Amino acid sequence: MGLIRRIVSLGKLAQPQPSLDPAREIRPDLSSGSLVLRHVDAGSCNGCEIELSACFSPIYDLESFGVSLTASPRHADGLVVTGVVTRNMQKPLMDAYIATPGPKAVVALGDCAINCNGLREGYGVTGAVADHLDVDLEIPGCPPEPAEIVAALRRVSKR
Amino acid sequence: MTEWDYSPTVGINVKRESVTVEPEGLPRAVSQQLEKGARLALASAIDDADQIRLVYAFVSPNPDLRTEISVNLPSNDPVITSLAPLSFPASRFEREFHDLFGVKIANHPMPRRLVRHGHWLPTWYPMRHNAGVAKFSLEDDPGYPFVPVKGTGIYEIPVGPIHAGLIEPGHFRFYAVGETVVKLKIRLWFLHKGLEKLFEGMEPTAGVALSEKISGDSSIGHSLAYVLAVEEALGVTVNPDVALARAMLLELERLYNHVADVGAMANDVGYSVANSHALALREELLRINRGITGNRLLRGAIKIGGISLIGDLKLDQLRNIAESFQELAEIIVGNPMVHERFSHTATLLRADALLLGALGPVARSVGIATDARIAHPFVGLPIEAALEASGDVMARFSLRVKEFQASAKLLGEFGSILSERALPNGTLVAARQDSPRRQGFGLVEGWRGTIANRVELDDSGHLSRVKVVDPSWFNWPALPLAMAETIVPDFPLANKSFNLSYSGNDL
Ligand code: SF4
Repeated sequence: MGLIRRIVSLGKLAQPQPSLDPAREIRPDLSSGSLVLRHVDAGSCNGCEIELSACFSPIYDLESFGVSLTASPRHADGLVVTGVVTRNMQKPLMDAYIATPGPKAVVALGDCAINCNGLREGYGVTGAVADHLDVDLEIPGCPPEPAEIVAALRRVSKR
Repeated sequence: MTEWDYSPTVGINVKRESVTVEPEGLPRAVSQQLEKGARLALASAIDDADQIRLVYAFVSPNPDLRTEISVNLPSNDPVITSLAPLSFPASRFEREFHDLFGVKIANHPMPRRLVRHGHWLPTWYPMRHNAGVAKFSLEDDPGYPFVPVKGTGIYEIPVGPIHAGLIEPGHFRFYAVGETVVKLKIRLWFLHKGLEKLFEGMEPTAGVALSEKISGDSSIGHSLAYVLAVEEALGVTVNPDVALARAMLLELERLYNHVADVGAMANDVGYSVANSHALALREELLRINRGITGNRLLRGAIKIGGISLIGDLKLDQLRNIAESFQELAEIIVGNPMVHERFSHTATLLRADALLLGALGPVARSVGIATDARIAHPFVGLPIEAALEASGDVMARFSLRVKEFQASAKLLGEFGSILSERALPNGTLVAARQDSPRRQGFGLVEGWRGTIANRVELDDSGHLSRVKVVDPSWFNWPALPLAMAETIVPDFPLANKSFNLSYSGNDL
């Protein structure tokens, strides 16, 4: 079977997502309808990355809610940070933050990014994201499931 | 359904030996092991207060033999002579001994720092018990002493630690002429958290959740290696059904990761629609994981002495996924552009892979039949190592397709064990005071290759040392070799075809 036939036979895979409650929207100063994020793994186990990438699968189709990832922080509206902040990633994280033009949002994705998730005492760990940057949005879970990530990021993309 | 007797007890056929040698006798003891064909699977330093103990764990298959060679060094002046002339992996473990424990390595051919980053104070050895508070100074980072590559037309491309995509951090420095890479230097350990030290002082049961965070995509692989090591240290044997169920979870982990890699490789040659299809299949697999264990990454299932499951594996659903995956894989390689980009790209030579001690799909795609499920089984299953020979991206792609199908077949035959509700749910053994060994060693064939974990318990039954070795630790040095003569734009593809762990390497 060729690709075209496969696409036709599978049909639309995107799963309907609940409608967005405008009362939960945040950061009204950021543009409405789109949110371009630079992802920074500051000390993750790579578990949060699996679920973040799942958000961009055809099932969750996060891009249809205006959220996309970009390679350069200079093109970004903000950072989505995963993991604890290690000593060795502290400077690269801050560099990426400084390179992102304001106004900008910071999203802490996963329990490690929010509260270190039991790793705070590691000698290579400086703390959670909020110990370094003002965090606008926390998405809890180890890792958070894609539907939770989609719902949370839509509060910032407002779409 | 094939009838198969799986052997009943964890480690029943394992032979263990351990010897302590004088530092002068170490090279001889090590070369004896290597001459016998044993592989250095792990080397661990242990701070015993009055001495620094180095343990080298050699393993060989058939019979499953695990030999530990120990040397004791005075803690005030620990020095050994480098084993670099004998073993490349040993020479890297030595650099780790130096950076984390302050062991001096005499005659090391490459005595540069490995784990330590420039802003750690050079005389602060964090794994020593008396290391005290972390000593770092961001202002004084001298940068890494990259060996400059000089010549007409050679230029340098520094990349990372933060990369363009959704991946883990590391620094790559390419030296290129035109588009062709002359040399690639990889600097890692950006994710170094000090995980091994976090285990120290913990109850063994608490260590399971920590081991799941070593590398999230290998939550089963790492927690299982840890649990096997703890069970050996506690003298616990598990019910054979538990061992079989654990093996099945390991195969589920292989499935969702291999499907993701197959899609990502297609994506890196611009075939993103194929990646979307792969991601859709992965999503189905992650949901199956959730149905069985309550967690999409299969976390929380592995317990010391048991296993914890909440749902069944639907075999017909799995069969459909396997068929759909096969169709997708054929669509991907059937595309002439993909075929062209995959073939003869980033070829790893078999001789290099052998020298580096490469593991997992990276080794099997140059025809090296390494597989802990065969060499060091904790449950006997009818497994044959899938092999490819050409060592290029195409080989690593085709190998994953084969391994996916082999795992799906195994799950088809034995996966119904996951529906067995009477499996023991991790009851930790009481009489740990009289546990015979207080040391244990676990080997597990994760989807990236053989994961090793070595555990020591103190007199009160708490963890006193845990050493983790992800297969990526062995495989990372292979990537620059495969990149020689490859063009810079093919690096993302080459890197994806290896798909090594940063988190599992950096710890
Ligand atoms: S929150 Fe969980 S999944 Fe995410 S990085 Fe931390 S340990 Fe990994």
